[in-house]
Amino acid sequence: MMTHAQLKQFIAEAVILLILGAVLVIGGYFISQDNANKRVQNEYHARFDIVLDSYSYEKVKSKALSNFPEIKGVYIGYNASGSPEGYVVDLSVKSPDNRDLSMLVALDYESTRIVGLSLNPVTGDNAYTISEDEMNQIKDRLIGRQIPMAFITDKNPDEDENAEKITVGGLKDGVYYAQRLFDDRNKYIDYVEMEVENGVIIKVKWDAFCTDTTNQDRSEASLRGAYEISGLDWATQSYNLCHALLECQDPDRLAMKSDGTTDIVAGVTCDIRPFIELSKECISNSRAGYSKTDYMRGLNMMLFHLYQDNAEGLEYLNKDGHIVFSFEETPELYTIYDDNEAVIGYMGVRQIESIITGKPYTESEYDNRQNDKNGDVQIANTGDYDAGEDGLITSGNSDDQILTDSIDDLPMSEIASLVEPAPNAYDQTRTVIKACNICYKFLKEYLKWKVT
Amino acid sequence: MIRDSRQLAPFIHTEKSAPYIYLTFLAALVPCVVYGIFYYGIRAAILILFCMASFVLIDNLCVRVTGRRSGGDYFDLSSLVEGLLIALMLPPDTTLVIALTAVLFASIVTKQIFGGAGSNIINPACAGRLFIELVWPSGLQGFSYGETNSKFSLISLVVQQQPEVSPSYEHLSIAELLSGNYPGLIGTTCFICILVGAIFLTLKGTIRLYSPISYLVTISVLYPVTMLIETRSFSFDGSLIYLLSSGAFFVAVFIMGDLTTMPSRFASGVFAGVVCGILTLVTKPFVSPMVSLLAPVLAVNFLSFVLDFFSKTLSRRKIRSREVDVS
Repeated sequence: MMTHAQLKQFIAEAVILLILGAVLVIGGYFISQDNANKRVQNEYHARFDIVLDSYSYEKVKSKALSNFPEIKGVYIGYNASGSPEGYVVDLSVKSPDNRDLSMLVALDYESTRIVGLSLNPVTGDNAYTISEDEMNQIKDRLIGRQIPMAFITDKNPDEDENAEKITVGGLKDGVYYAQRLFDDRNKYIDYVEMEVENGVIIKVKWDAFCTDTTNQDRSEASLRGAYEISGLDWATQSYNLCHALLECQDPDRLAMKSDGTTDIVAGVTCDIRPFIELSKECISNSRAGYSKTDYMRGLNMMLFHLYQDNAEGLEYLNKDGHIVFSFEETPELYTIYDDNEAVIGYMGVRQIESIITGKPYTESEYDNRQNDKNGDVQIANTGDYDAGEDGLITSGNSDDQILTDSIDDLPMSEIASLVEPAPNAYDQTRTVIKACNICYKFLKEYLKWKVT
Repeated sequence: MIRDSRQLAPFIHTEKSAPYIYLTFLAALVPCVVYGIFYYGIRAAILILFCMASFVLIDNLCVRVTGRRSGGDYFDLSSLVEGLLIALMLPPDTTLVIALTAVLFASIVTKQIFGGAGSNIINPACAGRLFIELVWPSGLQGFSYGETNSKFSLISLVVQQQPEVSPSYEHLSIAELLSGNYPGLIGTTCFICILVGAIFLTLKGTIRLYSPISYLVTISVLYPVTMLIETRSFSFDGSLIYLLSSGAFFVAVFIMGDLTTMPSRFASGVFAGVVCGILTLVTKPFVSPMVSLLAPVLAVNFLSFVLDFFSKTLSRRKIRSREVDVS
């Protein structure tokens, strides 16, 4: 047994050892910490200088990382003054043939553009290898581009005969416009404005103005909460849809269902029928060279035909130059009936103008092809009469109907850069793009980006 | 001091009582505990307390179940020491389940089956740690450190974390090696803390230095030879790094310095240390670092009684056994 004196002595000795231990540990820590930091930084420099030459690096600690098992580590590079320069993401992704590609992706801190790509040393039997030449070609295509990325056509170039396949064809450059001739139950008149350059649709805007001119446009009203629909706000849905059209270039490829909705554009739950109809009318107008100015002239002509005055005189022009008038009381002007007096479609302004002026209405070569396909020569601007299966893309060879509504689980509307695959290295480029898109998804979650 | 020889293993011829020895060991391990908690935070503290508490609990349960309790004339501090030793030899990101497995094996299989405190043949902490190293190797790779190391994170106590890649120790500076400022086990990496503990134990006379010294000398001398075989280059540089970074110094002081399980005579102690060192170096290329450190110690534990016997009977000269405490 021990005496109390011995016990006290032991306690005193233990306390002394505790203090001594604390002094040694803390002192040792501060003495060695500089060396430890230098060693860690040297390791980082050895690994990361090739993609992002920063003064120092710091590893990111984030719960978001747990959702991305592909990412082994994320680091922020700082310059000499301590300002962040960029991110370095160390990750491993699966190639199309299910092998592992381990690489570093460096991104600019502000713009999240790719500033460096590097392959990690190959380890293991299941490693995916990319040759130096292929990697250099991929770097040429990707560095400087903003993430997320997708191929211009997300198909194998071997199967892609030419890039024109993704355009509707026959478009003439200019700004084209179409608006509905009647308002909806909220007194809004939808319109689509489309800009074409080099035969490609480069800009699309879908919005609606109110016949009650004291109200805001629909997009503005939705952002302010005055116009509410289920799902995302209408302005965001409109934006996503316009983006999707820019991507696919053909309203038919948006696969509108019979109820006017689509399943293939992420975040869009609203009725897209007005958009499809007006986009088609814009495309038809573009093929006919019927510009926005011509369209406004046609509308004015319709007003003059009915009221012997133009929009300005009738005070139907709003501050944005739109003709705010609903022709709902004169449906015979624009409605097409069948033999049984049933409504089968609506005419566009160009067609109505030709009727009013008595000039022959001529379809473009492309419109004729489309109408032949639809079996309906008269109606060029309605999406209601596609003979295809509900919600599926109808026209053309089924092999060409691949519309990727998402890539790497990212909606196409979020894609910031479209790139071409490196020659003879499609899978390699695709795998690297996949890695870049994983970086985007992580940063989106880590930085809590709100994508609209 | 009141002598109570009943509390000592029969082959320990020292005037120190068991509580005295174990309290000394606990005190000597305090700097290592401070190191572990300072570098690895709350989870290290919880692991240490959990191992010590569970070891005491299991030991007491076993004693009650077997009816072996000797009247409670003293509190068995060996459980605390062994629980603490197990905790200090764990990686910081070890789950409580793995720690409990080690404690259960150490307490029941290696200690209570042989009769409890002082009767065990092999070192329970050493056996418990080796057991989980063999059956759960992937669960003992949690060496988060530096930017990945959060002192307040407790998740690793419950969920097994992704294994961390251990850095190359060759690039560590001498200051880092001495202070333990690099990824490692909770209590085995700080050379200075272990040295303080070793000095304290020596001053208190509760450690036999034959085995630890011969063990460390053997490794220091033979390490370059093994490197010559492995890498065709002869250099003493690696010896120091290995001794400081592998946990060999901790094993030498706190496991091989154990009075119960290591040979008590000078010759047999030295022999045991040399054999341990050789076995460690021989097995090092083929097994994990902890196995190469602990398995030889257990092998010598099994042989210590025999070694003592031969040391005593085969020597013509009557060598007076050197005890740690000659007072």
